[in-house]
Parts: sequence; structure tokens; C-alpha cells
Amino acid sequence: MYGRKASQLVKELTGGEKGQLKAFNDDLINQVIKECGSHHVGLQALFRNMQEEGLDIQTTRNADFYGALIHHLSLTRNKRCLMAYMYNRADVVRSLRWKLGRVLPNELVTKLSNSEKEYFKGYSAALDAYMNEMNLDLTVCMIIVFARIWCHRRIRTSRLECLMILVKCCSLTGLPILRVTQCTFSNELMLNSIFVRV
Amino acid sequence: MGSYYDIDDIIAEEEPVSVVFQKPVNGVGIDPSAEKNCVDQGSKVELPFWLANELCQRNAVSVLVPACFDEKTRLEIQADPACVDLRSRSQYFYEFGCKMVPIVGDRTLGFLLFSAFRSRYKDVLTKAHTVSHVAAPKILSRLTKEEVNLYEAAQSSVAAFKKWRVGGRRFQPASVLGRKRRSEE
Repeated sequence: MYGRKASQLVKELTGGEKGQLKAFNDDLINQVIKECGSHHVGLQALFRNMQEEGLDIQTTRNADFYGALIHHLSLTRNKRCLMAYMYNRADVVRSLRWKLGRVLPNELVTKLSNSEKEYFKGYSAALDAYMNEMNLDLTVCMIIVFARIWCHRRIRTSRLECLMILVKCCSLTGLPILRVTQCTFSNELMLNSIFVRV
Repeated sequence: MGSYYDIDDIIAEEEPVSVVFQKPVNGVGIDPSAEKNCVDQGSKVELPFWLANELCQRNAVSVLVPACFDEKTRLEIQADPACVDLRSRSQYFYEFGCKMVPIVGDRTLGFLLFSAFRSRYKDVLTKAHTVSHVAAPKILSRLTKEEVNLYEAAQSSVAAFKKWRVGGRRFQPASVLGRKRRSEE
């Protein structure tokens, strides 16, 4: 049946644990592409038939037309399966960078295709460049805490004191502060975001 | 409707559907009983849903109700929805059913899906909370993919709730924050 191989390819993505990669199935992909080639040939042949009979391809609804339609639908179906295979694998490849870091273990590298290796390298480089620019390591697990401390007008709490309160809050909750990104000190001290490691 | 890249959506559309061709078709090898590469008008062929759907919209085929929604299944669902083995009918019983509703003539199909899901929903959630690990595989073998997701979600929320009750590190107010403010002079 048409499109059967392509759906086998997609089914491969569902087997096993979520987020785990199977070896890139070059063989099956080539078979699917070969099937696409034969659909293309079939489509062209049917169109040629219709033209030889002097029929208008746009409006005729004969047996040749429906044959061509089935070939066309099979082509788009195969395309969707191939695209979904690449797309969902690319998702996993990106997540590997976050989970395992810049260097992948060998047994994983062998499961990637050449283009996926390139993609991983490119993605990794882009992420590194961004983190360098922001001077922030995004790969450590972080939550962002929004804190708001109200200070009474008359108390005249100094900035340092406010910050001390905050540090104390964090140490009590056991969340070490990585860095404080933005503070607005006024009567109402507001800390927009503190990165804490969990 | 799933997204273009949605794996479950793609696999759900692979489910077989029996169709009767209303138009003759040339140059395709989809009818295993035909000798040449063509399909005659009126011949019955099993096609995957993605193909049957498009052809049906162009009035080239008429669609028969798939075997997984047959009379026997309906009777079983009416009798005791929770015990029906829907997984063996179709892993994507509901998704596939929803896709079939617009192209199949049977108007009761939508209601069947709705009532089956509604009554099984409660059962799945209850079992996810109470069933022991030993009995779990037996129950899971009856559920469709969507119901398995639901089951796992329910279980993980129970686990999270238990963890929360036992306690762990909680947020505590800093002692300095508890002090009373000086009243205004």
C-alpha cells in the first residue's frame, strides 16, 4: 500500500522512551524517496495520457485523473511523513544539547545522520554565543523568583539592608542566589528577578 | 486537528478504511484483487484514512464504517464501557473516530465516541489513583493511547501530591519579615 513505508518511519519515533533516539534510518528513507520517484513517474504518465487524448487536465474527471490524484496525495503524504521524521528528530537533537552539553557520547553520535551532526554543532554554537553575550549559563536549572519587599517610608532602610533581607530569605528557603539582574531601589524596593539555583 | 508534524496525528491517519470506488481509476496499484494497475467502479478496497478522506471529499469513493466501530463494539460499550478493550480495536480510537465522523454517513458515531469517552474517563482516573502496580499492565492493555496519557498524568499528579504532603523543603518566612513595623510618629 502507498505510504506504508513512510508511516513505518514515523512509527519508529514513537517506540522506546520519550526523548530517546534510534539510529537514523537511512535505508527506509531511501525506500520512501524511491516510492516518491515512482509516484512522480506514474503522475507524469497519466498526465501525458490525458494530453494525448486532448483532454483538459484542469477540468476532466476521468479514470486517469483519479489515478493522478491518488499519486499526488501519496506524494504529499510521504512528504509529510518524511518532514515529521526530520522535525521530531531535530527536536530531540536540540534537547540533547541542554541535557548532555557540548560533547555527545559516541554511541549517540553514531545514531545521528551527518546533517543532524551539523545541526547539533550549529545549535550548540548559537547557544554558546548567546550565553557568552549575556554572560549567563542557561543550561543550569533555574527558576526565576519575583520578590517584592515593602519598606516603610520612615524606616529608611538602606539598599544594603534590603538586599541583606533578601539574601536571608533565600538562604532560609535554601535557594542560593546566582545573581541579581535588576533592582530598583526606592521607598519600595523591587527586585525584578533573582536567579536561584534549584 | 493535529499539527503537520504531529506523530500521533500521522499514525492515526494510517488506520485502514474500507471504501467502495464510485469512479474507475487508472494507473494505480492499490487494489490487490485487480489484475492490472487499475481499480474498477464499484470495487471494494481497503485504503488508509488519509487517502480515503481526500477521495471521499472529491466523491470518488464512498466510505464504509470501519470495523472498530461495528455493532459488536457498540453493544459492548453500552454494556460496560470500562471493560471494553479499545486498544485492540484501534490505538487511536477517539482520534480516528473524530476524523471519520464528517465522511461517514453514520450519525450515531459521534455520540458513541462521546459516551464511551465520558464513561471511561472517570474509570481511568479512579483506577490510576487506586490500582496497584501488579494490576496496572492489565488495565493499560485495554486503553487507547489517549487514555494511557490520561492514566499516566493522573498517576504522576498523585505521586506529586503525596510528595507534597510528606513535605520537603518548603518556603519559610524570614524572621526579619515577621517583625512588627514601627507605627508612624
